Amino acid sequence: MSHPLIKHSPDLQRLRNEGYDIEIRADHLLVKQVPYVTTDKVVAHGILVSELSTSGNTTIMPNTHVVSFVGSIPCDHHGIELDNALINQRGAFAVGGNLTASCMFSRKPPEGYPNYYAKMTGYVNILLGHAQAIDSTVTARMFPPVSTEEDESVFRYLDSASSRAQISATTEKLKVGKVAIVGLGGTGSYILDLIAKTPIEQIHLYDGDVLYTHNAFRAPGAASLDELNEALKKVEYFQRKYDPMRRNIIVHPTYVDESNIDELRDMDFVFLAMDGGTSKKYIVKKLEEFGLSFIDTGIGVYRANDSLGGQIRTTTSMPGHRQHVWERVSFADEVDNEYEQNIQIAELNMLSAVEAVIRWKKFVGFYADLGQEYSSIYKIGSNRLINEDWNEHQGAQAE
Amino acid sequence: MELQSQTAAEEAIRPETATIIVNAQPKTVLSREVSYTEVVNLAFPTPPAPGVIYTVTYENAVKPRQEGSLIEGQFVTVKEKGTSFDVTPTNKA
Repeated sequence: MSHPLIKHSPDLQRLRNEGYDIEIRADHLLVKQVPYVTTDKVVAHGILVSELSTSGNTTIMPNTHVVSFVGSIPCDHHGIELDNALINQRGAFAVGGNLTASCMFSRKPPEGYPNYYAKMTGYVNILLGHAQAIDSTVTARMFPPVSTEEDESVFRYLDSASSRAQISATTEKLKVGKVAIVGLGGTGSYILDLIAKTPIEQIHLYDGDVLYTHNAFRAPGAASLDELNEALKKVEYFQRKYDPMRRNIIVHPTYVDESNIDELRDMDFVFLAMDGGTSKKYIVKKLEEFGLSFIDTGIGVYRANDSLGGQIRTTTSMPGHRQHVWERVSFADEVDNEYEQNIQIAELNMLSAVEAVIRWKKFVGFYADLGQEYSSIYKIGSNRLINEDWNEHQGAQAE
Repeated sequence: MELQSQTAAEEAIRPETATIIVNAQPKTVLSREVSYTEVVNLAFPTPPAPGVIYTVTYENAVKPRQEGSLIEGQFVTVKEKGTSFDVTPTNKA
């Protein structure tokens, strides 16, 4: 848990940033997973427990140099107990709420410990030195994940580096309120895989389809037989997959149509990753009416003898830049047999998603948008990306 | 040898056949000014559905714009040989 004291105390932050497994329990500071040597000359892991002197929301100078130790009596690498130099009291006594210490350590530097970083690392290093003589790879700096509270972060855990740094100005741009993905097929699922890892506050998933076996071959990760047998809706399957990492994935197990289109009104951005057709035409019209920005993705595959060719299209629409969408996006209800029959093309879905997410990140200013293109087309055969519809020329371009 | 100083208009007055590649298949065209519609018809002699809008991209065309895309109503000047096109409805996700 991320205790407010840790956030506001530089010495505790430093312990966390450096990967120590710290916890505040019953007003005590714990450093866990500390390697030490037992009398059997093997490396074990114990817990250092210290009182915690505070003033308001931050730590102050430790008022005692003593710590308790939870674990067996620590030894040097010959298995000889670290008496005198370290241990100053033995016996089982309760500490830190629900733990039992076996001894206390006392080693005092001339002016005392100035802060808890110095105090705790001082003791860690004494024990660690002996442990590393037996196994040079052991460390107390385990960089454990830090679980978060709901109001702290949309992610359920942070790495210690993130918990230290103020979120940078660049990353802050990704912290938009609401993004919708319409269509959780191949491309949509890869878009989710990417944007789930950004600090977007809410991700809304729209799709009425069930996750079938062939969908598993075009999705990130690897669905299990049991999962496929559950016949979940795609949005439910993906919510379940990504929920362990982040909160606020909101499922809408339905297509977008007149009955729910108004839900998209206050989205900050929309990814369209659905098959083309009249239903998409309706959505595009409404998104324009709502004044929203969105990206439409599309893949087209053809057969050339025994190989496949095709294109991946990424079309960006924003207020003032709408015209090209109607020149480039097909709203006919046709069937692409090659796409349907070939499930071994997940990388096309993935590349389509990557193009869309990079473009979105340019939209919010995370990446610099030098090209300012509103259409891009990837040609599989020649591995070429063609950009069109730049900022200064809107509408049809003359040759 | 190609005459690179000729404009597209002059080219249109003297049509020449050319071999282009459309979706990996060689096709013959009777004029070096090739339109979106012509390429689409070569790729899909029977349209898959009414009102389909295609993504048409080309490479290795005549300068100044050797690669790019076409929307309905646009043309590109192709070389006698070697200009290639991809044509797909680009509609699946």
